[in-house]
Amino acid sequence: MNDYLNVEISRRSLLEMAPRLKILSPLMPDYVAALEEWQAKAREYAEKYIRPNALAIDLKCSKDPRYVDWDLIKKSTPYGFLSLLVPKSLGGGGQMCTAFAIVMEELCAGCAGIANIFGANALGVSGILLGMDFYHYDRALFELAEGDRKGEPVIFAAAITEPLAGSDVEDPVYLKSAKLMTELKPVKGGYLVNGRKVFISNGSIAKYTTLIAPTDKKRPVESMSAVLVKQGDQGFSIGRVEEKMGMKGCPAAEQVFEDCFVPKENLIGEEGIAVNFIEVVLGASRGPVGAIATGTARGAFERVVEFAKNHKAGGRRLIDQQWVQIKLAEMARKIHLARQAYLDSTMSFDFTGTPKLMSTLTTKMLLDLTPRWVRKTAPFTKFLRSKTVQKIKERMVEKELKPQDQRDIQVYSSLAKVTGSDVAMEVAYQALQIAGASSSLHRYELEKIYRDAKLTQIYEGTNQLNRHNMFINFFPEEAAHAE
Amino acid sequence: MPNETNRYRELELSASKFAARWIEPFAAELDHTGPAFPTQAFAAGIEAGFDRLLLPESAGGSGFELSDFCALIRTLAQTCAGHAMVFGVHIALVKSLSELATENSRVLLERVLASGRPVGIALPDMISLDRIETELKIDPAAKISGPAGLAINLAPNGFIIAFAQNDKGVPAALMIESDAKDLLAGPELAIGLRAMPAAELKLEGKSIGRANIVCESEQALKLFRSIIVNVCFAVSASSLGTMEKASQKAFAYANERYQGSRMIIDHSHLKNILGAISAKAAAGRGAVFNAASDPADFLSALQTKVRVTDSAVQVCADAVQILGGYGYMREYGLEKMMRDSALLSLLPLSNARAELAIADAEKKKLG
Repeated sequence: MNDYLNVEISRRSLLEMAPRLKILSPLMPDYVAALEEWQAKAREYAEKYIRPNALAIDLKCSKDPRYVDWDLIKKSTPYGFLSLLVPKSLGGGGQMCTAFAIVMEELCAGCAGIANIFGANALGVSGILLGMDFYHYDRALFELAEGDRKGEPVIFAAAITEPLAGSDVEDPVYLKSAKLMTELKPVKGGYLVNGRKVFISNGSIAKYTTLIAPTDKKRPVESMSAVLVKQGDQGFSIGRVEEKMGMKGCPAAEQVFEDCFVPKENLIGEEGIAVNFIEVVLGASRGPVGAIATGTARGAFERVVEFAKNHKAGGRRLIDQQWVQIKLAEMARKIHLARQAYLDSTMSFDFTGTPKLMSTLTTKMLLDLTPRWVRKTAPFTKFLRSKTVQKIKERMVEKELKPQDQRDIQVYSSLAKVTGSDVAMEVAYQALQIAGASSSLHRYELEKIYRDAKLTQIYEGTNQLNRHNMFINFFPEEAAHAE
Repeated sequence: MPNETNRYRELELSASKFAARWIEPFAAELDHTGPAFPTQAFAAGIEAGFDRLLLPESAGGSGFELSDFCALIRTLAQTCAGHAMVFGVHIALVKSLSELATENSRVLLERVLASGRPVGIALPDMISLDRIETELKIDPAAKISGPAGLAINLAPNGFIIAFAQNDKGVPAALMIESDAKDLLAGPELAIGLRAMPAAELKLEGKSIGRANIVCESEQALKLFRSIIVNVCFAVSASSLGTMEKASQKAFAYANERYQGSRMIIDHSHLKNILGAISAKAAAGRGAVFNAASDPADFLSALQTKVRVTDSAVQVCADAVQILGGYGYMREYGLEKMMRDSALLSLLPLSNARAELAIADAEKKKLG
């Protein structure tokens, strides 16, 4: 037992942390090597910049929830975390969900609050990416990658939650009767947006927000659409920035839309497809939320191991006591399982979900072989947004994506999110119990992790909603007859 | 049960009025800007006679029983657990000092009561209650040095009871005045209970004078165990009040918030959560007042604190979950309850450590 605990979990390699990748390594050496590379980068950034600043930022944000440490975000740009998901041809990292999740685990082991800036950014980006709307690839996503290259970070957000509809907007079953406030009213040349979105992570700092709202509030399922709004757009303002219990490093803000005109070009994909779009995005993002939670739990584990090595109770070091050893082993077990759950989710998504479409010949021809300046020309833009291209996309989806795989993706993503977040809460609480009363003090960091962990059970659909999502996809027929 | 008698009802009513006047208007702000000791509220509590609640009438007290004390603390905690613990810890320590009844303890208790100043406790980093495991050392000249543990209920001009041991391992209980120069550290930011400031106490070769030694040897162990038991009751009652309020808030929200074509309270899977919240709060009530009916039962006090604080942690976290994003925000007050309940589960020792002490006590019973 002691030998195992002497292994610093934070210094364990990716292949040790995820045996499946060790097995996969000889078969897909480039894939695994890229994951290892991203993990190393994230670990370095977390060690050098996040951990040393986590407590101070948490305190500053307690006093002023609008505070954002831009210097810290700027320091991330050489690593390219913000543009990790952007295709390589646009200057991004060209990675998919698994690499992103591995990065998030590392960053969250440092501080989940700060890391959440990168998580919320990816949620905004994935809306555009998975919508496969190349118009935005060449503009907003290109700008994001340029930002990382120039050291001038560009942040994204996704706005889904409303004051009277949280989980309702994230579930097609509940959406039918959701009390929505925000609407994209079609007008000449675009849409007029009115309404409010709340608890939007990165909401106050994002240059671009992927906004989800119906074009007709009375028919939300049929008319749900996604558009890109930009900070500074007329009629778009930031309301209150929330005072949260934890995850303070990443601001959660209200976004207010008052007769905000959004041009038709800013539509992501087609009008009325956002229900499917939300499902795809959440299928992609809930696995990484599992990784966020896993990293949060790991952060608690690493700190309590450190605490136990340096503190005595009853005259002996805590780490030398059997009850502590067993509790630590139990924590390590849960963290390991949570990691496997998120890898199941992200790898399923990468290999059997929408990212599959990125490696088709058609997509490669468009993204890798066609110069960006050609894609940006008016005729080409028109072509990319034509019915023909839309049909090609639909055919690609039909051919490449199997319905059962898509249902499995939903199951695994919710499973990873629920497992990880429950583990994060349990591990953070047990860490406090081992360390004792002193661990309630801010400077030991454990209490902060307990506060941070709770949000992972709430956002990206509450754990209740995610459990229901698992049932719906496990038992589609029975779900249709549910109360 | 407390509400079966007029006395309880009167006590709870008085406590509610006190909380409305002295706690409610300040609690949220103090939590946000704290830690800070609520000097005014404490003075008002002393004026109301809270400090003498458990002292016998023959000693100038109110002659109330431990269950009355639990009723008072529980009611105050429904408004703010931090404030409730300020009184809970103070009253618990006054009771323990009074029961010790040694010459020095009588003198020191009189000093505390006459001054109207709060008293707190430095909790050793313990896993057993059979001995005082403190690293704070005391030499023959009454000089003390070393870590004394986490001091709670730290107040400007207050007193702190700490435990030390000499070279031979003989324990002693000390009373330190916080206005004595360089003796006490300032409060540190903690997860919750910010009205009851806390700090890790480390003393370096300070002389406290023999008059401040409350007791030594067996008497010190007796005082230590008495304090732990009485603080356990304060913690249990605070946790109970906190989870009752959290439960109330969760039900109120679930009954007025529409989701998925009906009210939250009408979703059967959320009824499971809400039902469990309600059951835990009810069981907590029973456990606290049952244990308080037999204050001499050290084991029961500890068992109750483990069970009730653990329930409160779950209830508060589940109540936050019911409110979703709103539960996580300061404005709704539930996140404070979640933080407060987490700290309560660590006092006077964490539940995981208390389980070890309970098992030791059960083993002793087996002989």
